[in-house]
Amino acid sequence: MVVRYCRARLGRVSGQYHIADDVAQEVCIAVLSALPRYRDMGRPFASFVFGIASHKVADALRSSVRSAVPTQDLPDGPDDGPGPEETVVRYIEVEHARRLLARLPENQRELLLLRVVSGLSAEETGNVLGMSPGAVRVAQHRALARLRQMAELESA
Amino acid sequence: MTQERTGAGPAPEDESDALLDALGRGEPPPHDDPAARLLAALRADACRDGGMVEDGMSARTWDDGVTRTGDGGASPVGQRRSSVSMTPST
Repeated sequence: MVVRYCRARLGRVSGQYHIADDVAQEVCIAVLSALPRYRDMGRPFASFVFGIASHKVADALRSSVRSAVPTQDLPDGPDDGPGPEETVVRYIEVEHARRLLARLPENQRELLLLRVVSGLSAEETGNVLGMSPGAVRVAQHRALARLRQMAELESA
Repeated sequence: MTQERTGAGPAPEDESDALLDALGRGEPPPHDDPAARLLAALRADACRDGGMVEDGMSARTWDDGVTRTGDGGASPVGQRRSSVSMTPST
């Protein structure tokens, strides 16, 4: 869930998720480091994890440097991945999603990512964002309606 | 500004909640909901390349909802797939 969250927030660089995956790793290390200080306050553990993840992603966004990404040696063998056309179609659709999400208020964007990409429940999402479950339900409905409206406008 | 609901169906907020729950589990999006399709695509992309499939539902979405829908019917995925099938063999 953390990896997916970081990937959705940070996106690809040079076609890869290296930076997002590195941040996800940092999140896991930070969670492990913070565990001794963790106290069960009745909130889902996920809210503790994604609270850390949110900060790590924000740090990464602030210090994002689109530098060259070191890669391993050139692959020598068949590529089992999708073909170039399918890859491009996927890429376009995902970038479209990112572009529209970027036009949402940050809170709504974060809410949708936590609900869909990370798969958190409304209650868990509310705990991460400091919202009541009822407020989450209203906000997510508005966010979805707005996203739907933007998508339909662009496709019209 | 709230609207009074007179029907017996679920409230719009409940429908959105159920939809987001389903997308969060990796279930295929409704064909006629562009926002749901985009969110599902984003989720599927975040699951790729790192073996991030977490359960059977995610795997099903990966196989059936994004890349390998076999019905070729009204599914937008089917439309994408048809373009892929035009890849020349030589």
